[in-house]
Amino acid sequence: MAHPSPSSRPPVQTRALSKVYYDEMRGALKAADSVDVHCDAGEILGLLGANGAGKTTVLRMLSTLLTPTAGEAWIMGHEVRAAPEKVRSQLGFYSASTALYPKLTPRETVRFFAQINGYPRERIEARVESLIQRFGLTEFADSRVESLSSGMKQKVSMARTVAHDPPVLIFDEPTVALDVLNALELRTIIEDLRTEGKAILFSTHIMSEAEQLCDRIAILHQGRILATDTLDGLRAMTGQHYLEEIFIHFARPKGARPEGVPA
Amino acid sequence: MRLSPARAVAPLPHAMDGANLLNGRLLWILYRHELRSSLRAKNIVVSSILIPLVMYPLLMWAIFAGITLVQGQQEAQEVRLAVIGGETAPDLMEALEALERVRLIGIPLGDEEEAAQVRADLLAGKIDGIVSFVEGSPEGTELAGNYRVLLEIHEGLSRSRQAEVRIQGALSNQRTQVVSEARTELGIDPARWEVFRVVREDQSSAEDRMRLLLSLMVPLFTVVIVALASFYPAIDATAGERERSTWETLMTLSVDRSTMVWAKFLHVATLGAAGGLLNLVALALSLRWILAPLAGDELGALGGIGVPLGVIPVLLLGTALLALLVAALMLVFTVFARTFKEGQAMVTPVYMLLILPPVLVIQPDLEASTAMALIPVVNTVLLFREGLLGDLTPVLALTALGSMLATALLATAFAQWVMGREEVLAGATEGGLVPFLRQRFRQRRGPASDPSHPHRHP
Repeated sequence: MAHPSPSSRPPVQTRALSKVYYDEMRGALKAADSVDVHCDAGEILGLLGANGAGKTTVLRMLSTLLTPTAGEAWIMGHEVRAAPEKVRSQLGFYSASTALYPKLTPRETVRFFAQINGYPRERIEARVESLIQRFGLTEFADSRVESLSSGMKQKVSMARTVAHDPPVLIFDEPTVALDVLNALELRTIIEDLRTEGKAILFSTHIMSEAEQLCDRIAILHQGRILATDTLDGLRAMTGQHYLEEIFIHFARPKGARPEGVPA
Repeated sequence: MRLSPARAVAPLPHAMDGANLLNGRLLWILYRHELRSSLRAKNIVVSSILIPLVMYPLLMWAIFAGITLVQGQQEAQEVRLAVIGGETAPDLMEALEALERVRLIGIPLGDEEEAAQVRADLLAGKIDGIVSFVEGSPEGTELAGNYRVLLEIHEGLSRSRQAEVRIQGALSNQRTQVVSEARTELGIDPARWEVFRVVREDQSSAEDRMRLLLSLMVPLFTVVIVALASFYPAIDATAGERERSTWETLMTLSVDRSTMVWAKFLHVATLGAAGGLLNLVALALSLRWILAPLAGDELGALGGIGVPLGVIPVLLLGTALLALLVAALMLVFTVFARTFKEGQAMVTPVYMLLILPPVLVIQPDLEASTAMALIPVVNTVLLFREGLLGDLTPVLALTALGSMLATALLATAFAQWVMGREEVLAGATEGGLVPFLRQRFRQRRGPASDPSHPHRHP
């Protein structure tokens, strides 16, 4: 199949992306089933779903941590299976399971991620200093990460995610372990990144978070995308006002859905 | 204001363009990163640097201090000796009484009750020996007027054995004195009396003895130290990363998997080799600064120890090749572990297997053969042993080094293959290396299943 040139694609695009796990006891399990999404520059696309809906699987396939069983996905025009290193160089991945190196300092951490992810050598030191200042890490820049508070660690994590200034950012349930204030601060940073023109994928199961932050929301349930639209579009589609009601509307068992509402 | 996609998201230029092969610059960055993290971990610094450096000095100091302490204690120890029937042999009693640090407990001949009590005391360790003077002999073979000295000891107690040595010495001196007096009295020529004398001559030099000692110590300790120095780095670079949740962080870097695996492998091999080499340096310094002064001027400086200079490159090369093999072996086991504890459990049998050959092969009378030089680890031990003894032939050296190189390359290739598997990197395999290999074998024979997650749902 002839692929369009990278420039004609949105920064993030998937086509029938699927992941099947094989379990000796239970047989084939579809964690992601023909997922079609895209995300434009300066946009936050929310992946909304309950635990086990397949959000993490989709994001891990996009970040090349998992290999898709079928379908295709492109990050900045690079297909995830054909050019995984190129894909990884174009994105920053942030999740609760991507921890920091405890023995490094924030400065060393940011420098390492900028270097290894291919940020231009001559600009690395300036980039490190600018991120240290931007995330308020100056005072602790040379202390070891293991000695920092969880709020500071979260800032270092964010700084290392954007260290190489990637055009695509993936946040997999980033606020799950954070207190209210730290979660708010993180959401503010993500909004700033959107303003800078990053294409952002943001997975969450917290409805209010998706409502506040996301430009479009994809509702994911049992590995399938049930609907993707702006909040207003989803409201119009379902006749429900609150996102929680909209989600329940889509996620309830088949047959229980009111007539006239497209799946 | 929203930026337009075309303006906002220019793809980043990146290091991977046009290169799917091993990237030297990225490898160097990752390798330095791994080393820096390791050198900041206390357990790794202790096992890979501190122990190799201080082991020999401590060992030598401990051995000398131990020997001196034991000797001093033995010399200062009082011997408690029961003497039965001492009144029948006043000369011998006098000889025993002349001994220093001996406490004599006299028991009259015929006091059976007291004799039984001291025998019980001997078994209980309350006294160290019993000397009984017995006139004549049941067989009647002794000359008239002679008597026997029955010496009862407890072989299991060192203090009792020490008592035996001192009593034997005293009795022997007494006999020599009596015989000498009789010989003079009878006018017998000393030359006729002596007949012959045994003269002992040690043909080995201090250098020879040191070489022999080194040929026993160095191969064993080198294998032990290289394995120990690789042990924690291998676990930390794999299971440790998973436990700290930095493994997934690593997997998101824009580096190809092969470069990641090489960086980990080289980092473990570097620390293993560093441990081994530091150990050799520590040995050389210990010999010069600790052993030589303790052993007196016989050994002199390091140059006087007699290790052929030509063997030093062989030792260094052998240590480096051994480190490559050990690093590859340890990583293929630890890469399956999810926690540090699991990693320790998986790699401990490898550690035990590695130190077994040196223990078996260091026997000095075991003859080195070309066939033995083909066996992994055994070849290292033979190479070191024969080199230090000065018996290393070019054929044996080349066979051992060639075999070590081949084994190290094979193990490295195997480690690269195992660690480069998507399911291994993703931590999606249950169990360890053996279940993984079984699963791969089954997959080849059976229907295809998801290659990235063949076993389990995360």
